[in-house]
Amino acid sequence: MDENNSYPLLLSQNDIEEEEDDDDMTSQELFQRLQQAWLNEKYSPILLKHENLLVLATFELLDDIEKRLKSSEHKTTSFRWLMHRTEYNRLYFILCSYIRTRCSKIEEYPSAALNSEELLSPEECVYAHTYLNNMKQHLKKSVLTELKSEQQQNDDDITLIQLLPKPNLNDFVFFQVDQSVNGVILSNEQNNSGAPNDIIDFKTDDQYIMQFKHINKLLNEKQIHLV
Amino acid sequence: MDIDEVQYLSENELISVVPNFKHPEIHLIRGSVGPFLPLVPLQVPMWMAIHLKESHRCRFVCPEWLTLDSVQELLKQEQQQDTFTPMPNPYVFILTQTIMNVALEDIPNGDQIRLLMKDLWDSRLAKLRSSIGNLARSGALYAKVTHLTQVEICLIRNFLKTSLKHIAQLQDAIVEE
Repeated sequence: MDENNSYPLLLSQNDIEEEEDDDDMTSQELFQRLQQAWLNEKYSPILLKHENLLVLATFELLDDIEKRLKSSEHKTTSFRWLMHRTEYNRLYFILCSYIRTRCSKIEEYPSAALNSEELLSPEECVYAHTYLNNMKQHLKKSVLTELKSEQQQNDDDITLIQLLPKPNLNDFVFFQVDQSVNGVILSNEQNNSGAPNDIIDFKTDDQYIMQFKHINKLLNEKQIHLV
Repeated sequence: MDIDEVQYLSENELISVVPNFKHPEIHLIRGSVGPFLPLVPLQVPMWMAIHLKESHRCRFVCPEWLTLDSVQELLKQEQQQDTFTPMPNPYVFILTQTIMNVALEDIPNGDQIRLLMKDLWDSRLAKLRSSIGNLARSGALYAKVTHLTQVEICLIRNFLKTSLKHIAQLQDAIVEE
């Protein structure tokens, strides 16, 4: 390991200039963004957009670090090696937890996930399809063949999607505001009694708890983050 | 959502330590740390500080928000106001506990600060309980919770989620009739 041990990420690490695309992140920014993506995914009831760029960049970074750790001439009990190893483990944990959370959401609501395929990575698409097919076959074999043949429904994909449960947008989440937003309307759709819808101004650094459906859009535009 | 994960997040915060060994700069993912020189204080992430302390290679420097005076001030403000006061750091309580576990001898008046922190925690918890009660009674489906620390949010998260969900369902049912 050379003394000036830096982690070139995609281009050069010390270039903090923001160019047209997001590829020139410093590894520090990558870490921050991955951590925030992990927290958002953990606390949101629905599947969020897959952060393909972050995941791939983190994989590259982790591979790089692992190679350096393995090929290091320093003893494995040296302070430097231990610190790098600890940080590697911490980052690896976040990445794995992120992917694990997404997989468990896919397993809970596979049809909803397949409905919005743009939110999935290619591997997750394959996973969701396989999972759904396996479940269908398993249920068909174990239950449907035992019922009378009139009750066996066509496994029409559309009816299937309508029958299966969808994730609940009414779940409550805590979030913190990154950028002020004025005039957020909390609409009560089933409000027949004529009570006015609430309009709130969000200031930076405020924290709230409310139903996810109200802030879904703000989360996608990164004006808030879940806490 | 567990306390463990809040602790994990809190370990990314920076803290000042005074090392007693020499070591050149280390370039971590989140920036470089060092160079380590004996008796020169520097900022390191908490996980590294814990590791150093447990291998007896450093001494902690008390962070400003953990001195006796500032904790007393915080406690006074908290007890005077009905609403929550802003905390200097989103991880105050968990960091205090970690620091006290690892480096009690490095913090002047450590025991007194521990007691004051416990009082602070108790008074905030009492406010939390009463405000949750008010929230449930008012039937509102959202609330502003600025100035709550991460640990407190973690504590009430599950309870508030299920209870607000039930309230929302009941409200929908009433409107439909």
